[in-house]
Amino acid sequence: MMRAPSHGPLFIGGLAFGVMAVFFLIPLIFMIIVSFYQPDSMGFYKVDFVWENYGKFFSSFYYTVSFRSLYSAALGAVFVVALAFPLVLFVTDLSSRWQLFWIILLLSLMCLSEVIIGFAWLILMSESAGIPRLLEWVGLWSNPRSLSPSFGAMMIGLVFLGFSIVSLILYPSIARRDRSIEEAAVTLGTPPSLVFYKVILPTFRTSLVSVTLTMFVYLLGVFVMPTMLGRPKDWTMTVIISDKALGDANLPLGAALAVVMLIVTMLVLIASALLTRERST
Amino acid sequence: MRTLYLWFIAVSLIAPFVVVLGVSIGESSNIAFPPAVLSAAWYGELLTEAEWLAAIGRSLLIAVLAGVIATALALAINYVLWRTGSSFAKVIFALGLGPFLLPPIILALGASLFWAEVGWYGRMEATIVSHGVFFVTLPLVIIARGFAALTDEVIEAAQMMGATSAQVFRTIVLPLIAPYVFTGFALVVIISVNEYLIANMISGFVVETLPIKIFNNVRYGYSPVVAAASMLFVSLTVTILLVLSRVTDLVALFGTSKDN
Amino acid sequence: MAALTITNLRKSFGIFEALKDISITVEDGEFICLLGGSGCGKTTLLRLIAGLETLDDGNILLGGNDLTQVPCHKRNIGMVFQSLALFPHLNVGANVAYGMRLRGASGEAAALEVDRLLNMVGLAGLSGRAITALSGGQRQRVAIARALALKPEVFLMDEPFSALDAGLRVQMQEEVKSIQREFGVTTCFVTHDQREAMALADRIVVMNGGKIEQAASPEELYAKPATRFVAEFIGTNNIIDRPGQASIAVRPEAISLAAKGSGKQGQIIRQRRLGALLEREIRVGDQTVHQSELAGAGLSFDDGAMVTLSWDDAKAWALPG
Repeated sequence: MMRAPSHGPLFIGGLAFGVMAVFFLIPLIFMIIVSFYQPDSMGFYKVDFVWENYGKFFSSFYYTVSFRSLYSAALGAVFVVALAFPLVLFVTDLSSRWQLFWIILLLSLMCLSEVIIGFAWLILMSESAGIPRLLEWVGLWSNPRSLSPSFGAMMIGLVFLGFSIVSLILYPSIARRDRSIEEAAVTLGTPPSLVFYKVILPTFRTSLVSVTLTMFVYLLGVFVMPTMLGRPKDWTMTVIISDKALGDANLPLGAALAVVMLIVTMLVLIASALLTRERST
Repeated sequence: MRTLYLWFIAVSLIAPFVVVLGVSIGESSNIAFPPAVLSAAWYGELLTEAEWLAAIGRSLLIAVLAGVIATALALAINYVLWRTGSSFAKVIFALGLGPFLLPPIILALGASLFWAEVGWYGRMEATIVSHGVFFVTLPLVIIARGFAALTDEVIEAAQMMGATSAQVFRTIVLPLIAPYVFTGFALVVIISVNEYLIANMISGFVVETLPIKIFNNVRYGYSPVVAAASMLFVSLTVTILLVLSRVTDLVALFGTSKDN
Repeated sequence: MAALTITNLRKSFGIFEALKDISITVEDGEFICLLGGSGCGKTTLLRLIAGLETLDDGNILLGGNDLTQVPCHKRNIGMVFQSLALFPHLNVGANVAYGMRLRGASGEAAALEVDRLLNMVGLAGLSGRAITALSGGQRQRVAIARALALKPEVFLMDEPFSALDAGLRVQMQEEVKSIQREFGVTTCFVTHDQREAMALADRIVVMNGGKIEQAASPEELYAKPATRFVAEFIGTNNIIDRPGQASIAVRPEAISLAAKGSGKQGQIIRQRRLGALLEREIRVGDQTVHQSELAGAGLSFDDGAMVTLSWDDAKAWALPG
């Protein structure tokens, strides 16, 4: 088509860029600035330039919290992908009617509030309404107690939360996969039971690694599950940041912790981008 | 084996909500499942008590306005990218992907500090704008798929029949991408209605949205009204998605339908 | 309707010269085909006429009016695109009526005209159909009706039938030809298929490397190619170089074979019987000569036999230059 020089698109583009810059980039930059301010007992901050907030991060408490956050996010990410990948593989082979059912189910879960999902699991784990009561009724557990809060309950919450997102991210590439590759492998003598390990898994290796990393970042940021289903010692960095900023009103410290998290996130994203690029060239 | 796995996952995904439904229609004010006596009392309380109604209204208002902002932004960015293909447009597009990639707590804290500095802390507009900007990613990628279907030749055909740029946009571009725009809008509305962390950090104490109210209720001693509110959410979300599946071919949006 | 005059047209994309000094006049009501391989500039020329690209130099006159400064949407030109470019969100009738509605035609007036056009392309009664519910041939017809709806002064088609199977293709060619005659509209049709060009055109414009090699009627093009490129491009031809003289082009059917005699000697390397026609490949020196005749019309030879070639000089064409 003829692309006559026109100021319309430039103006619209500039406007969109302005909005994104002011309400997305500037808050991030401002947060980095605040992380160098002095905390103020009144709940705000004093303009300054100190490294003290970052210094606090290296005290043992935040150290332990970070490692626990990394550990539970990593574990959760691996679980989510291991469960979701076969599901999507199976679902994409169903008729479009059933595919629509699964897409609506997964989309609903993706959109549904962490709060609702956390609350639902809280009930499911409680001694009066959920799984413990079911086990008692079946006769497997004579003296049921609530299963939450616990590390296990929190992990189930995290996996549940991430499951729909990973499934929907993987869905397009798996739906469009070249199925003749699997057939070719079988005609070349691969036993059907091994096709999954020999052909499908290697084909999707890169996207599985990158979606695992995406999920890792996502689970690092989950707030509601640890607070609702986990014990205080299972709390992740996100909870601590929110606690510092809202509870203790120490905004500069909260900002510094968030900046550390931002750096970790960036590193993971860059690693993920490099991994995908290496494979495609 | 496959079928068994599909069933297992489907049951695990749906079971929690069946229990919540059970609790919400039970008469008992303690959490109990299965319900001994059925009752709609908790829904009654949810829909008559002013505080709950206010939270529902606030949430819906924020969601719809945030949806408008996010969709307008996504449409603008995609239009510029499609029209010019310039690297500036690509940068704006990449910027739009950013919020989805970052943990929400970072966005939330940044926005909270920003609005406090601007002096809008506690104002609903702050939550609306932040939701609108942070949730731009989904409509952005969905509308991009619509523009991909809009080939150069289709536009040229319209021009050859005498359409000016503005007429091309109104008679061809807009109607062709409308389903994608609507899908993007609906998803932002759903996500915004459900969002807790960002809304809470920005103005949680003052602008209490439905998720915030539910969370506070769960934390400080819950009643089955929460279960009723949750079910309201679930049904709202599922309803919007079902309507959406009538408007857009969701299966095609996520993959390819098997018949092709 | 009007004649189209193109003079000294040039167009480059970056360092690639797509069109180098193109001049041609298309008569009022004439059907021309732009024929050539990919990258020869035929589509670029069409898009310049349509106003979808801006030209670097030269000008385009339509019925005496200079089109150079007229933007695409103000030229009255109908076009059928390679992808057809039907509007997927509009039904058949709305696609055809699109241009009329833009010009402010009332719904009723447009509907009448749409019915008339659909009737003419053989789609009577399908006005309310969705585009996705049509077959390939029906979509072609909608695209043609839509392009003709505004009674354009020039009708352009960019390889519209390349996606059709052979049978439907021939049928559509016949229909386009008769529709064009009925409308009497000046038509430029781009194709890379010489059989299509032969079947359709009053005059074929053979293009190569951004230049016009020859513009002539199908018969003249076949019998009197102006350049070596045209001679080799159109049909099968034998170019025989003669030292000190112009090379000559001899068609396979002009050559006859004898067991002995004076003239060029060769060895038969392959023979194929294609229905009524017998085709031979004969090795003459380091050149392969193609010869064909009606089966049974001449002598029969075994593969590998030595033969003498002769042709009627009246049927040999000396290539200019």
